[in-house]
Amino acid sequence: MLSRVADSLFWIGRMIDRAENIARLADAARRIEALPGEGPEPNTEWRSTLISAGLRDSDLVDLEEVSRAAKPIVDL
Amino acid sequence: MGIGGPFFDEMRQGADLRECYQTVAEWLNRVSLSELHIKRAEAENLFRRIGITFAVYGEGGDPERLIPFDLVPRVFAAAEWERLERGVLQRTQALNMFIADVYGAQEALKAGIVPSDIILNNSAYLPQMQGVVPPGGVIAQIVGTDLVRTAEDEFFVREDNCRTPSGVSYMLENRQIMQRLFPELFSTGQVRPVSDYPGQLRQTLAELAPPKCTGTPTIVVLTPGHFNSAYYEHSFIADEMGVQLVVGSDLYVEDNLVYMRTTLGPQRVDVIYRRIDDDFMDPLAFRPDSTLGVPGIFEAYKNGGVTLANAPGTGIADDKAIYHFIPQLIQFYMGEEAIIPNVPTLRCALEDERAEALSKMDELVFKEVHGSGGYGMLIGPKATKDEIAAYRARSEADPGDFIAQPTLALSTSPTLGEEAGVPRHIDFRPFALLGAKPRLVPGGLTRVALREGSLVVNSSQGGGVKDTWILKK
Repeated sequence: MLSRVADSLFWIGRMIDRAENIARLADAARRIEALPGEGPEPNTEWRSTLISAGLRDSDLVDLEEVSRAAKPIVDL
Repeated sequence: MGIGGPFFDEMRQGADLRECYQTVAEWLNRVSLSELHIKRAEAENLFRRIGITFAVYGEGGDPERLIPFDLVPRVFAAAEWERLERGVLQRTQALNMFIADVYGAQEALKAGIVPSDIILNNSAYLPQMQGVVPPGGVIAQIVGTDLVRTAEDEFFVREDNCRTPSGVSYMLENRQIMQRLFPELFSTGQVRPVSDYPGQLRQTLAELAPPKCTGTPTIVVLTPGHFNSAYYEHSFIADEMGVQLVVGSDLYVEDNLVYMRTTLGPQRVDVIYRRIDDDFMDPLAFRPDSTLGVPGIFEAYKNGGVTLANAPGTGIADDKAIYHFIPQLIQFYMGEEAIIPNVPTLRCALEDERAEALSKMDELVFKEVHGSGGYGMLIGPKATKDEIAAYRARSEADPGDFIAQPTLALSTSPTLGEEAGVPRHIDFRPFALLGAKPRLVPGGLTRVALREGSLVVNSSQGGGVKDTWILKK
């Protein structure tokens, strides 16, 4: 096998793995969010999900805004 | 009927059905128009799913296009094909002898068959190739010849393609899709198969292994990458031949031998079917800014470390300025008449031919010698008086740059339009192979101008393709 092809296969595998992980995190957050209860502040589960996904110091998402917003993360 | 006269129809002569079209005619009578339209949509779906695309740049939108596929096949009888086959193989061999001669002893130039200045001053002539002896004596292994038909017995060669002719994947895919959609058409076994082409190509390449090759030659297909307009074809051919599809960075040269980088370490490569242009193939020998090529590969080729198919510099044989001389070259090298003639061409460089050409500018097609792809052309019958006057001024100023040809009355073939059998103009490109012996699969690519009355079959300008049947004896 060509080394270039092996390299591409490796990265395809890693990307699929990461996509699956993120999908599982999002699924868990969505289920928790759907539970009835009075949390200390709204949307903390999305906040913790984003932190788990490595976005604590990211410029892509504003965690405070996620916490304030009263709508699901997928709309942001 | 004839070269400029009424159009020859491939299926019917007046009320008479041509014998080779019997199966197609019966089939067209049997199926309903709505069924054909459903099948056409199905064919388009298959092309899209398999990913058979080509790219058109500079028109905006997604450059990747599907080629329109017409369901009505184009048919050649066994006897017609027998003559075309001989003609195409004769021309392929003569072109090879000519290229080898140009880069060797230059006998044809010394004998005055072709003026030296149009060879040596030609941008397609590669001085780096002078004196190179190609492995097996074959320099252009893969040749596509564009043919047109104007009457029952009147075929012409419109153009030779000796660089990297494309389109062969369409020949193979068109047949596969026809067999899938209409298996009953093939059940009598009268259509000769084309599926042998990848095997024959592989065999041809293996026969021309370089002198330094030991054991079974390793073959690869070298592509510029997935942005190339014919990338689908590159991957398809590599897949069908069962060889690796490589880009320039997969290969490197050491001691004039070529290796590819694999997970098991370096592996020797003996024969490269390259689909990269000459200029970009080796930054050390040609364009220094090329990042697509392999440094040192040309030196390796010259030293017998690797075979390049086709060799660099083969473009000298398909240049428009050389085209005129091919029949004389066939005579010169092979002592035979050309079986398929050239389109009669007037060269403005010669005084009497120029006078004749300029006297009937409204009937002829004028082309620039070094142009390609339909740029810089004047189509006399469709041009205005002012355009003709402007073009006349240009061709009188630089007569050597222009040629004139009659407007060819391309034959028509029934094509699926809003009705089942509307006539549309077609041409034909068979794909010849030259290894230890010449080979030609019974088939080729028929291109069709889908717009009514149009004579332009190029896929970038609204042309489509058809399956091409060669019947058994």
